[in-house]
Parts: sequence; structure tokens; C-alpha cells
Amino acid sequence: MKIAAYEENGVVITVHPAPALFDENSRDRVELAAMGIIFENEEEVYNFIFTKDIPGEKLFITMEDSELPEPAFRNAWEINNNLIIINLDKAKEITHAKRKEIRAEEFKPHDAIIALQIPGNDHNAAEAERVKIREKYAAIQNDINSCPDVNSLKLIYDSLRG
Amino acid sequence: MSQGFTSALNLPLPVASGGTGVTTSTGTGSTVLSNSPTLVTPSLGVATGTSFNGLTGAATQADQETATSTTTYVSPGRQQYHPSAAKFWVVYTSTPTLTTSYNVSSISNVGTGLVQVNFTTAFSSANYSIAGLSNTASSNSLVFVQARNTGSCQLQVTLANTGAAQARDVTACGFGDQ
Repeated sequence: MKIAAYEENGVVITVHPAPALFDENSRDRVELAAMGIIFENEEEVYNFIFTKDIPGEKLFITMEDSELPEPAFRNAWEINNNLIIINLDKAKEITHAKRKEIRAEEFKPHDAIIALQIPGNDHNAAEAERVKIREKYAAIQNDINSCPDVNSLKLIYDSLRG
Repeated sequence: MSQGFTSALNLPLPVASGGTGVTTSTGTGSTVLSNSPTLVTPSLGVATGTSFNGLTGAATQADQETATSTTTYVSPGRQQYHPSAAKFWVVYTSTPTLTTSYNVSSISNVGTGLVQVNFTTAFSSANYSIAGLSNTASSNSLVFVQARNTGSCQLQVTLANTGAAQARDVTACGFGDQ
């Protein structure tokens, strides 16, 4: 299926047509025909959809949906030379945010022991665990910062998913 | 004498002379003379009339939108105009890929977990109802209506525990006036 993409406020927006509009026997097509909107070929269907669903005056590109880049870095997409590419710096920001989110989850039980001073718990052991976690994610932070490309960054991102 | 009388008859006997005037017939039983005949399993071609069993004809779009008539019947081509009928429905994946839909021309991937559903035929106002669910059981996610316009609506999925935006499979539908 062909899709369209355009930028708005620095964000890439992709438009995915409904398969029902390409089936001339679908209810949607029957209702459009009743309104006098009849298509001779697929190109006319695409034109109808993209003209209607992309804000006026916006320049857009079209591509096959299989050509979309890694969705995990969706907010790092940019349009460049009629292609959607991933901005590596923005992708690193996304990965850092994921790192912090996962680290916070690991900190949580130890934070509770330390912050609440729960009797019967070894506060020193909790603090030692926190140090280990901090060091582990500091190393990951360095790995992210030194990542040379999106593919290796994606491996780190996936390892953070738990 | 009897033989001579028979030969003088003009057959078939015309209606004006009390006859039927017909030369062919189909079926069996009585000749229809009454204004309110009882017909058993008749086969009718294209029939016209002012009412049938109390019904006056197919409901128009206006009949459906007013939704008060009890003397018109609902045809498949107009049932969708009734207030109780969904004006759109859509199923899309986390990618997002539009799986199936009604009255949806496309979906726009606006941001992480934020999808705009574009309607083929717009609502008449933005005061319409939307129901939406994220159908990934393990996601612990919520679906919010981020924006609601006559020609489109935006649905945002977030995690219930952190509020973080997440791309998830979604099913949604909407009710209102077109």
C-alpha cells in the first residue's frame, strides 16, 4: 500500500489510506458513488485521499509503507531527499529516555527502603544495589552516546525493553 | 334449440356483458372482483402502491435522522443515518497499519501512539461520541480523544501507570450526525 508523508512543526506525519476505498464493492465506495464520486483507477483513489487528508499547501512525498524506517524511533524521523530518515541525535535522545525509564523501575524497590527507612531492611545493601544500577546504566549511557549508527542504537534500545 | 343459442354467444363474454373478457388465465381459484382481495402466495412483479401492511415506503435519510417514523421501513442503503448507527469504525495496529474500517479514508500517524482517523464523510458537527479501546491485553494502556473535528479525530494511547505515549493496536467507533 502506498502512503504519503509530510512535515508539520518538525514532526513527520504519515497518511495510510483505507483498504476499503480500493474495493469498488465496499460500502464506502458505494456511498461515494452515490455522491457522484467515482474512481477509474487506483491513482484517482490515492489522489482523493491525499488531497482530502493532507492539509492544504503541504508538500508531501509518497512511498510504499514497507519503506518506513524503524518505528521505535518514530519521533526522530525526518524527510530528506524524498525519503524518511532517522536523525541519529534524536534517536539517541529517545534511547536515553528509555534508559532513564527502565533505570527508575530498577531503582524503585531500593528507593523505597532508603526513603521510608523500613525497619528490618538493610539500608546499606539497598544503597549498594543502587550504586550497581547507577554504574550499569552509566555504561549504557556511554554506549548510546558513542553509537555510530541507527542499527547499533536499535540493539541497545531493544535491550532496554526488558 | 339449445344448440342454436350457444352458437350465438360472443366468447369470451365481455366485461360489459357480465363476463371476464379474458382469453388466458393462470393459477386456480376464484376470479378477483373485490377491492380487498385475499391472495395466497401471489407472485408479483414490480408493484406500486401507497402503503403495504401499514408501511408507506423506504425511510429517507431525513426519516432515519429524525428517527421517529413507525410507518417506513429501513433499507440497507440508509440504515447508517440513524442516530444509533455507528458513523465510523476502525481497527489499526501499533505500526500503525489500517486493518479494516468503515467511513474512514485514511489514518495519519501523527506521533508516538497518536493517530488521526480521517473520515470519508464528515460529521455535521464536532459534537459526536467516540468509543475506543487498546486491544493489547498486556499493555495496561488507555485511549484518549486528543482532538475531535468534523472531518477527523485524534486518538492517543498512553500507559496507565506512567502516562507515557505508546503505540498500540486500537479499535474505535463513533456515533453522531453526519
